[in-house]
Amino acid sequence: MSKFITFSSILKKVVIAITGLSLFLFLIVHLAGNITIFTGNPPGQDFNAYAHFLESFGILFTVAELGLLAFFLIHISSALYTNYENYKSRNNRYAVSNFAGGNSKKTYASTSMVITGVVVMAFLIWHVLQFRLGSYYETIYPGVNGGEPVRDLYRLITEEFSNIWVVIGYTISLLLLSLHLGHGFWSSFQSLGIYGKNFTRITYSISYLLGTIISVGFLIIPIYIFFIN
Amino acid sequence: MIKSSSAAPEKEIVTSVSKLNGKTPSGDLNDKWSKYKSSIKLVNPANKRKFNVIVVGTGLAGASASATLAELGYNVKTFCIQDTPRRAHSIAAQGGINAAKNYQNDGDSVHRLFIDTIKGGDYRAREANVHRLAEISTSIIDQCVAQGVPFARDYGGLLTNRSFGGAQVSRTFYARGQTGQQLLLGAYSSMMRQAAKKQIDFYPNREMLDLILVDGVARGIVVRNLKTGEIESHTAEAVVLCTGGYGNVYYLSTNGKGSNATAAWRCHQKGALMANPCFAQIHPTCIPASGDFQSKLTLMSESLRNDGRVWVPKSQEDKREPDLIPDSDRDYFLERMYPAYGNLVPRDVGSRAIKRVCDDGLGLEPTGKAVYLDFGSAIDRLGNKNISEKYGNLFDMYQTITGDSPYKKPMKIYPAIHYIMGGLWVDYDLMSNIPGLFVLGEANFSDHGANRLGASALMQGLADGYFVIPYTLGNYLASNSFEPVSQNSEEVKEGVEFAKNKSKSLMNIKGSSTVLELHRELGAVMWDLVGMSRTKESLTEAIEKIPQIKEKFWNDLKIVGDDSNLNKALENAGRLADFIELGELMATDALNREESCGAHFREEYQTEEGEPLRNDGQFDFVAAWEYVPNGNPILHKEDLDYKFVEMTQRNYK
Amino acid sequence: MADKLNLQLQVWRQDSSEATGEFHYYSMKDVPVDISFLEMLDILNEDLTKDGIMPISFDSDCREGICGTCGFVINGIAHGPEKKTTVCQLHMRHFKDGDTLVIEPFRATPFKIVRDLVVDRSSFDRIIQAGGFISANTGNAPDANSILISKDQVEDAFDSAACIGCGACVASCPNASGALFTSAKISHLSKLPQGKVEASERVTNMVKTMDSEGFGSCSNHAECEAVCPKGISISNIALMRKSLLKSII
Repeated sequence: MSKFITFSSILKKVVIAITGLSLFLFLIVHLAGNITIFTGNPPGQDFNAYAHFLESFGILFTVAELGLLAFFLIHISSALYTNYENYKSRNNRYAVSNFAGGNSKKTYASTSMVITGVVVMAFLIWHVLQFRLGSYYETIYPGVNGGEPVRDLYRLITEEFSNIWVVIGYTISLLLLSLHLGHGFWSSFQSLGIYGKNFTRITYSISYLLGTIISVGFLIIPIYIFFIN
Repeated sequence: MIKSSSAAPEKEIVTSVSKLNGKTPSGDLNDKWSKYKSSIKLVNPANKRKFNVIVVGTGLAGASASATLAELGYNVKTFCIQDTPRRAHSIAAQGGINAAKNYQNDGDSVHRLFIDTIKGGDYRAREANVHRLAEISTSIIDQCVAQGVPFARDYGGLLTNRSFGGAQVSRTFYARGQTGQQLLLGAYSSMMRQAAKKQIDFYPNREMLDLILVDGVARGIVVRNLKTGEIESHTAEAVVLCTGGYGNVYYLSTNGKGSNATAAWRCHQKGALMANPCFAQIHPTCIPASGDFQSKLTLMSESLRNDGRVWVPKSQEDKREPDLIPDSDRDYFLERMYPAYGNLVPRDVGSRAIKRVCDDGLGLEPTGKAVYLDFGSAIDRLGNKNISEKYGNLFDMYQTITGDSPYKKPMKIYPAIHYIMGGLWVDYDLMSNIPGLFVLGEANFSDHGANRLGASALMQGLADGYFVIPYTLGNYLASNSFEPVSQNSEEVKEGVEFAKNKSKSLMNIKGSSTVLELHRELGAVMWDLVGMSRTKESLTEAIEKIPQIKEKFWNDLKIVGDDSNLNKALENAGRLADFIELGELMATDALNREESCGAHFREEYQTEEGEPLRNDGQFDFVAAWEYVPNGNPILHKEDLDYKFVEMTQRNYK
Repeated sequence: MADKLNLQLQVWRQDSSEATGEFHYYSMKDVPVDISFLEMLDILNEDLTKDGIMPISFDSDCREGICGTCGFVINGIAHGPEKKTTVCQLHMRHFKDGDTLVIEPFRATPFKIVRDLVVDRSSFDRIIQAGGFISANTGNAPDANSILISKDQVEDAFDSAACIGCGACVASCPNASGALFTSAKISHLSKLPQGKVEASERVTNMVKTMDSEGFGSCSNHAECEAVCPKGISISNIALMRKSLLKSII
């Protein structure tokens, strides 16, 4: 380490890749938890129970939430800073830009990471304000929390997603997220120096697919809720 | 401004009485170099940093010399016309590099490589130099591998070789079809390592315009910064010139567009002798010019002739597509003329045969200057896959340039100027007749005689730079004392003035002909009259015509812009001015050499079978020409006193 | 296919690094399809010279795609539309009659424009100086066959060593990153046993220099690989990162 004190371009990308992949994992866990929206009788019981289960970790849950926040902040700030530096690397822009094709992996997704990233960041703030810090309803389920009241997030969700503009906002944001993940997933391995002829080919070929699956997975919820109401 | 006098039809050649001495060490051929190395004076390690050495050019010779001299501790200043030292035209060499390693156990040896090179040069090279080259060849490969040059290897991990240019042993090391590139990048990286250590100061985008002489000794150079137009002077204790060949005197050649004679010619004008300038090698397998706008010719590796068959339609009227012409209507003229060697005859023999059939009107459409190189029968015999493994990259290259696939349609080829054996005269130490001016690589005349073997150019460049100059230059520096040369000295100021005036006078002509037009004009004269087949009449005509081009150049040249900025036309104009004078000297040299040898073919001197006929009794000398301003050059002779090899007439029938 | 083309050229003209540049427009008539792109510019320059207009400055030398001297951007793609081709090997048969071609220099902060389409790529030399070599003084080398290197290994190293240093990777990169150039040299040397000794120091110093020259960072667009005349793979960049991480950990 003593040999390499400067925070090099490569290390910045490593940081972005590690935090990015971690957030990717978080999304998968988040999506898996959200499946409980579709199960349970009465509707919402499983979901609210799951939320309560997470909260029941108390201080540990808060630490996890703060950790997650830190990952987001590091990911975003490193990316923004790198982007600023990259911008400076070309002081005169091309009059015409294009896609070379062939082996190139340059796409609208790859060139707009900072834009999709910023939109997703704004979306996240909205999303957290909407639900984590949104209206606090309570409900009681026998057998959950020993019959004591738990937070009724399900009600909040059904209320919010009955608004067509919220659903449209989510749809746009999540589609942009899919682009972000599409370039971000395979690219993270490349940034970490994890590569191989087949490995790179496979991660690249499933990357945009994975991004789409995750986004569509999340997207089903607002649309489903909107239509059952 | 230089004005030419109108040329006299018969040029009188003044021959100097005193003979040149190559300073070859005495003793047995095998021991000369080792004896030399152990008897020279050495420079004390602590003193090396007190010596400044200027290296001009960063091809294989220049880059390897710069790196090696810097490693020894000398202060090296390296200059090149390119934007970085990595781009010199050595980079384009495809085939490979010879070395007498005998890894293949096929009977190769230093002696055999020596004999092959001497024979290939048609007995017009200096024995001792060639033997030293063969001796050193093996160390070059070791050095390059240590630098990380990725030479081709066998599955067992050992180096592999191929046979090249008709050699009977496999002694050519290669790195795909990019051997020159890999060798040059190896030398370049060694050079960069020394640059990082501040042992080398390198100056890219600099063109040498004059040599600074102090009391007759080379002590510096004047260069033009091509980006800013500034004229700079640099002084040193020795100048090592590694500026390559001057094939571009023919306008179209396989050389890079920037390759030129200017640095060498300015040294010649300052007194350095130009030796055997007419020895220019022609490569038979180049992609023909497609039309008037062709800017350069691309070589296709000689190895193609291993499987390709050269032919033209028997009848001039036969305009059918090649695949519609049956065998009976094709003339496989190389196989017909040279049944023993067929398509594998040496470069010069093949080139002349091709030119002959084209001159007879049998050349292919649309220019009439092309013949077929046909892989049809090889593909039938070996299959597409096999051929593609051997020549795939060459076929792709051909298709990129011409748009035709050699798998489907025969290639078209035509000879082109490829390499210059002649150059500044040097002694065994690689020092010119100007003390302190050393000349390495293609820029000197020494090792290839009248013709060069395939895969030997890379060998010579690196031998000179890595293994010869460190010894001979050290000997020179240790044997002489040097007074410092001030930047304000008359000699330096004169050089700077000369260079400034040169640019100004070019800019001030303000005529109407472009550099390109004049260069094409010169090229046409050189190719038609001083090309691969020469006669007394053609050469006399050239000597008449070239001064007319010179006259036109100095009266009608048009350059737009100014000389205080990047101005490519100005650079090219300066180079063309020197090419014109050089062209005349080449014709003079060719006219003087009343024999045929190697690449120099005089139609008057041939056997009944049309083979070149040497005249060993009268012309077994090096013709070294002294520059006389506005007068006829003076011929100095160095006798090639062959002591170890018997001269024989070659026969490829 | 037509044998002659009529083209509209839009060429970046800039007198010096300090000057402001602008596009100039030229019409070309009857361009033969068999000539190269640079020969087409040669023709234009002849016409300009005759008219007393400063010809367009562009770099070129070998004109066979190996020296790396030439290069500019045609319609937003470095070295033009053909794959694995430098502009000197790009032939006019790949264009259509009536095409408009926008010709710009390689643009990147570390590549200062010298004049018109000529840029200063000396930053590449400085990156190589930082470690793009094997420290082997002349005369020290052991016999070439004393180092065994498998055929696959040497071919792999060659793929990286094939870089011609033209700068198209930087020019095409949305971030003007020098990662492909730098990593190709790092990979070439570290894939060979001779080069492994200094591998860690090499990658550290070269990356440091690459950064300090003002190149952007690599975001894995792989546009560089697509425009590279030698098709050098971005796996070299991954290897460079791996080596750097290894040297730190």
